[in-house]
Amino acid sequence: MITLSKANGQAEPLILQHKPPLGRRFRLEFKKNAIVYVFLIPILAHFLVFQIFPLAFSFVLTFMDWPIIGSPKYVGLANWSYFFQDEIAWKAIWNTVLFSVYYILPTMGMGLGLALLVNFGVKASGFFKSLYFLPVVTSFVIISGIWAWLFKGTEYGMINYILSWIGIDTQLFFSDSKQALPVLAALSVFKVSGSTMVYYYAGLKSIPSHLYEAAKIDGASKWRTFWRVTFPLLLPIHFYVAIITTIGSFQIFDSAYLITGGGPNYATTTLVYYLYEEGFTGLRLGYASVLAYILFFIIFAISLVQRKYLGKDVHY
Amino acid sequence: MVKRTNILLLTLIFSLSMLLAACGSGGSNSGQGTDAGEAKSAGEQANSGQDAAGKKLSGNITVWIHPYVAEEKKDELKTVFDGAIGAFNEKHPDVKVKLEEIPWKNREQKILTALAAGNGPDVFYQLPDQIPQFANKDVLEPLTPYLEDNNMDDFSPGSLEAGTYQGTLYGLPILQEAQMMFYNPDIIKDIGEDPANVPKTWDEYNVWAEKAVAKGYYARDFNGGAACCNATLYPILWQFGGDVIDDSQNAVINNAEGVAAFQFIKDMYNKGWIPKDSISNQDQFPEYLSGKMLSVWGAGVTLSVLKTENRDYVTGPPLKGKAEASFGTVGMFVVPKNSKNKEAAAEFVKVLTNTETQMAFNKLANYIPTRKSASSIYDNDEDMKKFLEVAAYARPGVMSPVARTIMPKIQAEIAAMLEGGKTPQQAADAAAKAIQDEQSKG
Repeated sequence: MITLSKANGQAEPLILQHKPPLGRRFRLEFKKNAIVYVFLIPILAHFLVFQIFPLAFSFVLTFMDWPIIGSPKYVGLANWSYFFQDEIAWKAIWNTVLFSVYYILPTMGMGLGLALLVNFGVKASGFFKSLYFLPVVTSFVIISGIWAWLFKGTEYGMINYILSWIGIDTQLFFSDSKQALPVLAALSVFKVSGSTMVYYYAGLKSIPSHLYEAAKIDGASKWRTFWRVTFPLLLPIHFYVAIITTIGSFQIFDSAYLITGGGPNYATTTLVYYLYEEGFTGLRLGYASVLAYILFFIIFAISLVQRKYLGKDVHY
Repeated sequence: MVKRTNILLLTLIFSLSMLLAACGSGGSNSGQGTDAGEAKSAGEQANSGQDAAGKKLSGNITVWIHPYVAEEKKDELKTVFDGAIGAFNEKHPDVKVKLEEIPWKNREQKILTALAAGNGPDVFYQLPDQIPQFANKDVLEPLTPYLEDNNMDDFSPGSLEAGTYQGTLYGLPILQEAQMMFYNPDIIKDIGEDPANVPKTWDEYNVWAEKAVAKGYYARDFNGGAACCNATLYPILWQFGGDVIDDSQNAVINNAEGVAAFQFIKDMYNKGWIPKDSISNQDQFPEYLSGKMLSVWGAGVTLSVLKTENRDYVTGPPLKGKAEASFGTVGMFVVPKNSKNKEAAAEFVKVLTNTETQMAFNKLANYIPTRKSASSIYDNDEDMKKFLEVAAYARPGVMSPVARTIMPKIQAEIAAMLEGGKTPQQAADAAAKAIQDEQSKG
């Protein structure tokens, strides 16, 4: 291994094969990068205070009965062992997984579909881009209100009214424990597709046109070109979008909080909603921290899997 | 060389800025910054004042209030509170009262985090089911020692009960609410009944409900998705003679009366007396307003909407089954234990809940005063007089440290029952078990 380092315009001696002692390496490293660290100080300090410290502290909390107010006490592994017998927590995890199923692929598919539409060279594509992006910048509270109104579970609901035209009976939507979660997921798909569209649109723009020309010369159909050229070359985008939608889906909270309150019968109690309830209504911050760590482990594991299968470099 | 000097200079600047930042945030906690310094010296003054004269108070107190009225009445509300501060300062000129308005949204988190950080208010607003929870964690100052000169017999017993946990009074009530029935007179006439003679008991009501449903109306509301269970299940449960937790803190929601109440709600749902989306609906008042519903279970806010919308309405008493009962929340002011100026804070709470302030406040905000001597504001208001009657026996909810945490669990059981997954007996048993589980969590 050859390390060649030049700092301050002066050539350092070439070091071959063997590494210098640690102290010297540290000094060399520092000389080379000191200015970088200086610039990093504010970011690192912020990271330390607002990320690392809470992360470490919440781990300590998992071993405590910490009621926010009043006096905390050490309870050992009680919070962790309670988690394994807490049926609602497992139900919440299952709901969150189900939510991801209803949410991740549709969001990616919708995003890609919308990106293809605006990339197609339709007239006024800028207008459509803004239109599709509109839900992203609209407040979740407002969209949730509209959604709850649209999906009202009586014959006076808008969607039920439309369904009645084609002879479908009144659906209960949020009052039905089987339908509530898919309807909530649909709200999130509607809300987020606009931003995945932007990522996919950027990805589509970055695919070199000569590849399409080559495909055309080879006589590939549009369908085949999409699956053989466009889709594989979007792999980095797929990876990025998959990661952010997965994280987003596991952190889903707002819609459950605003529309269903976790109901009916825990059907929309997601992990983060349950965590919030335990922490801020039940004043059990210790147990809420356990749930937060479970959430962390799940997201971490899934991100690793996604990285393994989707996170390959694409060369073209 | 030049580069190294630059680096040193930059490092110096950053270290200085970090130092400044640290001083800023550390100051507010340790009392070394300018602002906190004032507060500290104020606290010291307060102590020295108390020591010297026993009664002479000084220093600062911070009071957290909420937007109790609509935007357009805000100025009037400010006048009410300014009046209270004025009256307080006549007695205690050296105490500076700082009012801060905290939005209703996320108020609990704000209060919790402020109390945990030790920089919370000296007086804040509290609701009945939070009193046992907070008192149980020992964060509220018992007010009893400060109340010798405060005519306590003037308060309605129910409102004081709301501020009491295990025999100690923690909150002084400023307002009270009560709930009763509101009927649509057009529908009453349509079903051939007399608006002047509304049902007083569940038996009488059931006859009306049958007729209304036969004519295609809903009988009443049941907002199963929101505010469980103070305004939904509990009043019906109490009226049926049941309860959630008895005086010795045992879950009794699944006794015979409790199961009967669950069964009745299930029957109302199955027979279409309440809308099919009652499982998740948070507000069915629009159904009533659009003339599809015979009656709603409402409070003061229901009355104001009906009045502003110029609707005809008839009020009716809470329906009697085995017992006469209604829910009525109570708004109280409390003093946290970590307040640095507790005595002044307690004195201010007394002024906030005295007859004059209650008259001005409740007249403006349309709530029921908790002092009998303030009830004269509604002498000329027939509807509010009825609310006053109901308020006399209205209950403030479940007085237990788990009052809040059991609600979503009971709500889930009701939903399971209405959906058909559980029988009323199973749902009531599961609710009782959920209550016991919450109690055992401590």
